[in-house]
Amino acid sequence: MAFKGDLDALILGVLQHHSAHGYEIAKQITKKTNDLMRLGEGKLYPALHKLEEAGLVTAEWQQQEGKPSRRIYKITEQGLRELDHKKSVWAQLSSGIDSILSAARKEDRSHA
Amino acid sequence: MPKYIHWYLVEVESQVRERLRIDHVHTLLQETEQHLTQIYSENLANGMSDEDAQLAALQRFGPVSQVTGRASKGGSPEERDSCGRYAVGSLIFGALVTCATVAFAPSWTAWSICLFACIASVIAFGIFALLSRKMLIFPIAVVVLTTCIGIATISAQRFIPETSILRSRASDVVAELERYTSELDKDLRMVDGAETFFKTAKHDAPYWLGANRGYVIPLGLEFSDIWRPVGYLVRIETVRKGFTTDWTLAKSKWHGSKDLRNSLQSSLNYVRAERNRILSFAPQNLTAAFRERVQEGLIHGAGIFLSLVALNGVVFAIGRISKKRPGKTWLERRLAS
Repeated sequence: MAFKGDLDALILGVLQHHSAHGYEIAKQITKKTNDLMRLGEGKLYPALHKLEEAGLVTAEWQQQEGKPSRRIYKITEQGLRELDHKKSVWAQLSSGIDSILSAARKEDRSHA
Repeated sequence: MPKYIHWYLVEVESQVRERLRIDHVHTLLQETEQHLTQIYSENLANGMSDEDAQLAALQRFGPVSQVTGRASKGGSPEERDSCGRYAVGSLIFGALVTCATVAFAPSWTAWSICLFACIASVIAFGIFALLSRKMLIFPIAVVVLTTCIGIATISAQRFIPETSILRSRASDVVAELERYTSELDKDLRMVDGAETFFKTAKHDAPYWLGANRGYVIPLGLEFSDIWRPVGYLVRIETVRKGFTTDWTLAKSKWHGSKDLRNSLQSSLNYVRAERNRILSFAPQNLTAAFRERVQEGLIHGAGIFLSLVALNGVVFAIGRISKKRPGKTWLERRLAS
């Protein structure tokens, strides 16, 4: 089983706690992963629009004084359900990989 | 606006303008501008020069092709609408060909050509449906339903001439059975005549023994009387072929009328019953057969057409699965190009 749509999962994961605009989402992903996951931020908006089309997030414009308007994204109920699904898929995948890697480490130690 | 960011936005706009709806273009450009400006400001605050801050912002945001490639995935709305129309058009063509095949295909060659055209149209439908990225469930349902009704109607109409032929044959059979009835009635009367004849005849005059009919005809009568035999002798199979003038033989073959009468009566009853059965069969059973034929046509049509649509469904499903891997299939690359 592969963990598909990782960017979608990361976006939904960031939005599950609070609404955010695109730039903040990108920053949150970089920050929460300790710079491990630096995405080409240009990929973010098409992904957000796709999620919006799928009804997983909603978006509305927020006016700012003296600055360009920002589009704030908010996760929907459907988005939360999708996130739960993605979490369970990820849990299965990571536990599978972990069990293989830990077994390999133990074997190495026993050979040594 | 900083010039590199401006150029970047112009490039993004030029690439997505023809492929996305205007409100989507506007949203994408505004979000891109807002995002790039924010990174640029941060870079400036971190002590970068203006040009470096812009270039770093653009680098962090990613190449234009990455943004537009993903954003424009699936082609422009107009292209998708056209593909949707072509898909429905192909499906209608397939439906017409299917109906024509059922209605007119006179030979295996015509049948194969029609079937090939039908399959080709459904494959075309699958490809266009995939390109349109629309579910098209409503038009599919309408076309499938119409096709099934069409095929059922055609099947039923083909049944109508068969029905009239059947009706005419039934009336022929009834007429024939009525003729048998009158003959059997006549034969029964002859049995009675033979009974009387053998009881009362005193002379040894030769008689015709009509072996093929089993009638006993006194010789010397007028020609017209020959066709009015006076009695039944025995069943056909018990009489010698040809004629005889041997009165003794004729009399020895006559074993009485009881069995023969019973046999004739039962034959008469059987023929009358058959006649009545045919007369009563026609109206009700033909209606039931008509209904059966319509149902058969519906199942037939649905079978042919739905199996082809299912084929398309498989193609569509494969397309939808591969859609989850953006930009990986030839179709998506083609759409993005």
